[in-house]
Amino acid sequence: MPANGQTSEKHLVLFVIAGEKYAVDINSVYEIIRPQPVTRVPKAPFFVEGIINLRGKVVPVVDMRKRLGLANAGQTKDSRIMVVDSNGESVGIIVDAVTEVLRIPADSIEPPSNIIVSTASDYMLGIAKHDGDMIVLLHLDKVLSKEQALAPPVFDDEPLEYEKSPATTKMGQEETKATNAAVS
Amino acid sequence: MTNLTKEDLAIFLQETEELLQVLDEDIVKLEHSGATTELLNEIFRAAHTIKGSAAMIGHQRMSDLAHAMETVFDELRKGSRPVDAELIDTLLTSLDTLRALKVELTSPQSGEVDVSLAISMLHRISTNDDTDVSREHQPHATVEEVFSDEETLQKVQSALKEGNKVLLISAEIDKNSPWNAVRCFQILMEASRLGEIIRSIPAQKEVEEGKVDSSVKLLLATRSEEVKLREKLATVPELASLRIIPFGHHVRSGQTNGNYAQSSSKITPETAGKTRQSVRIDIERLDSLMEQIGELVVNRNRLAQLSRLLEAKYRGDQIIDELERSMIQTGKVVNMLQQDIMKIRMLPLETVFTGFPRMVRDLARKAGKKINFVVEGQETEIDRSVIEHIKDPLVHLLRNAVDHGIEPPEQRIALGKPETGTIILSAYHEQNYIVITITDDGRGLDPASIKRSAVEKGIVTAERAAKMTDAEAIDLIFLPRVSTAQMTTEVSGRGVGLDVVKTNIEALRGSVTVSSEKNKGTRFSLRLPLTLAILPALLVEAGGTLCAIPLADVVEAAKLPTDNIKTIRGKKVIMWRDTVLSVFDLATVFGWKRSSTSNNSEIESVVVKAGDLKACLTVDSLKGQQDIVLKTLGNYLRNTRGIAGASILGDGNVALVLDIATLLITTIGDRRCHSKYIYLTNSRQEDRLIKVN
Amino acid sequence: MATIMVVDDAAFMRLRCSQLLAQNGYKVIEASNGTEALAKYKEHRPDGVLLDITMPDMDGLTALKELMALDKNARVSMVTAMGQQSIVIEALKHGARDFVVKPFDPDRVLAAVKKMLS
Repeated sequence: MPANGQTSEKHLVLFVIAGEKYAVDINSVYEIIRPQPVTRVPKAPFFVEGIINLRGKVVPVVDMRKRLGLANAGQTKDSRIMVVDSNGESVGIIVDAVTEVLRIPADSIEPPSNIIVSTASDYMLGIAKHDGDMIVLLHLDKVLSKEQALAPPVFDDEPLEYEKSPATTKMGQEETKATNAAVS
Repeated sequence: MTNLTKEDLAIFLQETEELLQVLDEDIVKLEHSGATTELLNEIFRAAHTIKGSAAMIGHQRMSDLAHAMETVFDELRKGSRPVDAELIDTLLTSLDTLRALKVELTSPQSGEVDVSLAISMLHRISTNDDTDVSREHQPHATVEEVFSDEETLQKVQSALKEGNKVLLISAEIDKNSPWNAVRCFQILMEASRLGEIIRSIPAQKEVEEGKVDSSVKLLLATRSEEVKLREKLATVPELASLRIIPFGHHVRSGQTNGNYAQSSSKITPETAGKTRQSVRIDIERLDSLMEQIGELVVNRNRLAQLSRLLEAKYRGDQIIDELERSMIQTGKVVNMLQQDIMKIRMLPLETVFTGFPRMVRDLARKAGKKINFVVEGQETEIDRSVIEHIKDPLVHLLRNAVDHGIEPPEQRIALGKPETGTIILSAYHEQNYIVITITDDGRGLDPASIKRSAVEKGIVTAERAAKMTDAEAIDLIFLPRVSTAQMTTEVSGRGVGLDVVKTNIEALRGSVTVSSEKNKGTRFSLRLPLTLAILPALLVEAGGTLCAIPLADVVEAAKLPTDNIKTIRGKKVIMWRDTVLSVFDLATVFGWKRSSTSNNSEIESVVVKAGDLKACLTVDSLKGQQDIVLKTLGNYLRNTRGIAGASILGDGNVALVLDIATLLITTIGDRRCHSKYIYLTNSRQEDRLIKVN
Repeated sequence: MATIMVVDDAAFMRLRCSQLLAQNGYKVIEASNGTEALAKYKEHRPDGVLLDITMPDMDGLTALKELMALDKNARVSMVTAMGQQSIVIEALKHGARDFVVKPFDPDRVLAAVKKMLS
């Protein structure tokens, strides 16, 4: 529990898709695994790569680039499948890289409507500013819903005033371990 | 009782449900077969237990109603009241009220159920309004129920404090003794000479009034030696059995009443013999266990594979030998574990059959028919996953038998048949299947009128109908519109679609057949696999992806000469055993590329069927047969037509499991086949059943 | 050798009972009603009494009470016909040791006597 206040911090997993930084709440991430052979499923939604065997469980895998309408870049050594909770089910999402786990103050997160102008705001919980970067907090249930086509976030041209956020903590010892275990 | 936990309530609800079913069935039995001591005792006990449990959880109205029922049952048991229609109706009304009371517990918003009507009905038919007598008179109350009450335990405790021993004495008098009540009284007399009776079942007053059968149980506070006590009590003539067990330590060790009940039920063979030792398990836990065992099996297979690879690489190494031995042993244990879990998942059909006697009775009454309903083989066990899905088809068939099979009494008499019709519901095992039959001795199906109806509906041509044998004609009733037509012409009102029954049973990978003779009766036979958890399948590769086709859907798998494939009006067909079948390439259907087309003279093919529909699927290669566990693709990929789910194979690869019926619907566009796949591996209800129409 | 008094107004029953007991080594005294039974008990002090419940003048239960008043250690077993359970229970409460149901089988009678004397 945070020592200085009750709900003042968000615990996030950060990842990269097409050079942009995204994050989801750590509680919705089950594990992070290396890419593995995917069995394709005919007539599945276009952004669904197929299914994988996650220790005896069949888990669908979504390509986040395709989901967000971004160009396919192919897999690199940094590519990962993040197994996340979506509407109570496990879904794997392919991301370019998982970078870090961090805590940021809740008040450094702004609602998307202030910054972003596009339908993308539908699947965003907010924008966090961290070390001069903008991090898009994804609303997993919405971003993984197969109902609607999604567009990548388009940032407003107006430059934002970034402030170095001293309250942001580096990854704690505990989290480093957790991430390592998850990635291995 | 104030601190009622969720678990307590769950147990209460489950037990009550079971008891209500017992009552349901027994009351109907009572009407049909009359009162036997055994039946009445069972009924009495059920009502009695409900009364007690309801009082425990503070559900006063439920307890009161159960008590009023118990009073009536007691009168029946004593023979002071005959079994008649009024009695049965009153009891069934009361039972329905009890059910409503149970529902009230789980959905409080439904408001308070009024029990006054049921209770006053019970009082009216009761010959004896002195309900207090029967409240006290509980010869069938179990030891734990009565001896664990607060007052008794306090007396036990103070007796122990005073340095007495407290002994639980159960004596049984020879059943042939003409006066076992007096013998029981003598036991009480003898015991009281050597100590103080804290409590006895039945109480002395009841024994004096003859309200006892042949056994008495009592708690005695005494300073006498057990041996001496035994010697004294044994002088009572016609004593069949005598048990003396120290009682005190149960109380002293500070166990709760509930725990005490357990230990005492262990030591009294009367109760232990009747109730099998069992543990209740949450269904979700069982499913999860099954899933984990599945994983274990998959991993076991993978380990075995790795062990073989190591063996090939380091042949002769002692460690490898030991690894292999250990693997074999592990394999055996895992197999046994899997089998045991399968067994745990098995449930007796009783759980489904139990409501049927009541249902048939009500239907018969409504239809003005006289029916003797016989249930056989209800102890036959079948996997839980199957059991959940056979109730509806059975209800369909039983309704049919009552509404359309059995004739009205006057018609039966005119036909020289017994006035009362008979419907027999029977179940038994046959290899890896169970067979359930529903037989009635009613009017039977008339092939001629079925043919006529089918021709009228344009389902078969008059020409073809004329050539049909009677059996073929009768089989027509499983086609969608025929059964409805046939049934509605016979009895005005609702027709029941037997095609739905057939579809549902086939979705369970079972089959349904019918045989019938005019004026003799009809028999429906359902054949169902013992389990759906494991599915034998044919593995094929299409476009480089592994697919599994349930063996039940496979007619034949073979290499067929490509020359045999012709194109008719732009569609590929093949002559197969004098039949023209449509040909589909599986990879192409799925929008994939065939991975190998090296040999063009022959092609790997699988002839599949769904209902009456057959087709030929061509694939890249056949990979052999394997038992698989069907897993859902989850909400995310649900409704993917042609795919029933996925399966994880021994080597960890994932295979798509084909849903042949929807595949054929989408490819051929034939609406005749339905599909309803049952998913087993996910306990969430919405994932277990996916209906595709 | 134990002495048993058989109290019954029916001569045939008395006879059957006496014969049976005599054959099994008991000494037998007979009485045909309650009053006689009390008198003979005082006189002979038998080791045990088989007392019929249904008798004219003084019924078995009354006779039992009188006997017990006379000798609180009297060993009495009731002899009864079907349908007299409640009386038997009363008798047992008033000190009767056991009972035999008529028509009795010899073994039961002997067992009752044995129990009464134990």
